[in-house]
Amino acid sequence: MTPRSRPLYFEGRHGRLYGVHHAPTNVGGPAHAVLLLPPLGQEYKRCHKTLQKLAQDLATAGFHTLRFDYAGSGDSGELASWSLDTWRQDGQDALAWLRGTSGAKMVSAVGVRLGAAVALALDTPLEHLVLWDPVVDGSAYLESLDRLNRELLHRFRHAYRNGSAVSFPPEQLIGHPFPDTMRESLAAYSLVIPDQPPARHALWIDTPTGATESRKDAHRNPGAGAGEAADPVKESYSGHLALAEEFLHVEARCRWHSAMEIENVIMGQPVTRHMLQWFKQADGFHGNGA
Amino acid sequence: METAHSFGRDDHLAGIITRPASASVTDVAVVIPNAGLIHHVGPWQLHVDLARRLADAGVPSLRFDLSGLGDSELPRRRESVSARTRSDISDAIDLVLSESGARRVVMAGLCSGAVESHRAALAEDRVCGAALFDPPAYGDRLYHLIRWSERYLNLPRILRFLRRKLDESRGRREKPDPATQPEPYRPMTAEEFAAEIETVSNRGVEYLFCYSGNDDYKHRRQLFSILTPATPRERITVFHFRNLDHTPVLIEDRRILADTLLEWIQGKFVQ
Repeated sequence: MTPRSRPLYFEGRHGRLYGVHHAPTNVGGPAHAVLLLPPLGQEYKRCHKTLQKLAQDLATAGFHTLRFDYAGSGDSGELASWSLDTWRQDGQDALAWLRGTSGAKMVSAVGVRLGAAVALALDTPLEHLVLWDPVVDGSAYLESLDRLNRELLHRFRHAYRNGSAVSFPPEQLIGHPFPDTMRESLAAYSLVIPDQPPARHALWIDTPTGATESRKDAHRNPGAGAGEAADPVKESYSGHLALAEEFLHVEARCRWHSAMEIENVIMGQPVTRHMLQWFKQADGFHGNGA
Repeated sequence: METAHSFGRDDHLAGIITRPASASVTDVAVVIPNAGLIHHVGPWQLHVDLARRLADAGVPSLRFDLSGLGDSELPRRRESVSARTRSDISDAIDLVLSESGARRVVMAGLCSGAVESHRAALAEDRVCGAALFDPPAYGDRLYHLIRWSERYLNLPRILRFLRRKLDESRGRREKPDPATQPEPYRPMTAEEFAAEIETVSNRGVEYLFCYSGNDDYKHRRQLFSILTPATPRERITVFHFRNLDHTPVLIEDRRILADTLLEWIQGKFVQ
């Protein structure tokens, strides 16, 4: 039987947060909860369906799963000055809600792109951690967002304003509000390996364009093209890969920063299929045994 | 104040009701279905912006995902997509009327959401207004003349075209993938659309048409060229925002759409 999801609001320290709880219909072993931490702005809109499907599949496999929107984004309450710090606090609040609701003793997290920064900052020991195309260098990531923003604006000006200048307030980026507080915290961010392993089991998932973008973002090997084999990609993350015991290169068409596909939905099923399989294996598959 | 709801005949639909902080100023509530495959927040959060702007002005709304889209799931019973969508919107109207205390509904949607809003106005007596952002557009003579002149009598555009082709040939620019290029969205013929508008507007339903500056719509009166003589013109309000894109990427452009919707609701449905 497919579990039903429930949209809801829960209280966070930055106001009410919107989330969707996917409860398993049949839990065989000890309750295990998974928190999905979405990426920024348009990246989130594009992979929303993928995350919804992942949550549904995880619930079918016996995991309590929560998806949610950070304060100041999506359906969550308005917040003018959000930043990576407020995101981390929202992540913490979401995890507390999920633990309280599910009664789970074990908690895991999936961090997508910038959501990985939140996952790595959770102050709860995680059972499993998945990092999907994580942002490794905040300032380089910011540069790539600004570049995409300029491309988008350029296209917009020529299509709708006869090429005339359009004032594009700095507090909006790629169609979404983007406060200075987030810009500053992103500029200062880089993925740091914590002293303690962030989770008992960790998986790093890389897609061709995710790797290419991250590598370009980090000014590593800028001439490399998409679709390379896994090993050179893996090398480009050297230093950071100590975070994860497993590295998986998945051929999925994510193209996070393609201006041509900025409004297209990301079909991330190849990624989530691997993720689900890994979760089941790493968990000893003591969910509902489905 | 926003509340999240599971609703529908199988409790499979997900939506957000945004209520005014003070008493509603009108007996209508606005229902906003998906635009294409984008979940209920709308393109660049347009639906959230619309809902909150409406609530600030005293108008409640429901933004929701149709079956199988966004946070909604598929119903257990198999139905055709059109029957399912009709039932989804009927369920959404039930919910918003029972939760908000409104008596009538204005449907508001963009692109495919505009088509579904129009169809809901055709099927549902409880719909008193339909606000359609970029519904299907059909060219008339003036449209073709403007389009031709834009293409062939516009030197900067020709230069840009040549530069783009040069950049593409030198690999400096990504070639557009034909599979990702949008096609004009025309799920019905001009005659069918016009006949349905006639039926609906003669039933007393008010229409707001907002067309963006995309390539399908070139002048404000283009819509009128397809309308039948029996269509009451006073129930048709048309805006042509030639500086706006199909999915308004600028926050201030989303404000323009929200203000337009609000002013139209205030003018038509607030005593």
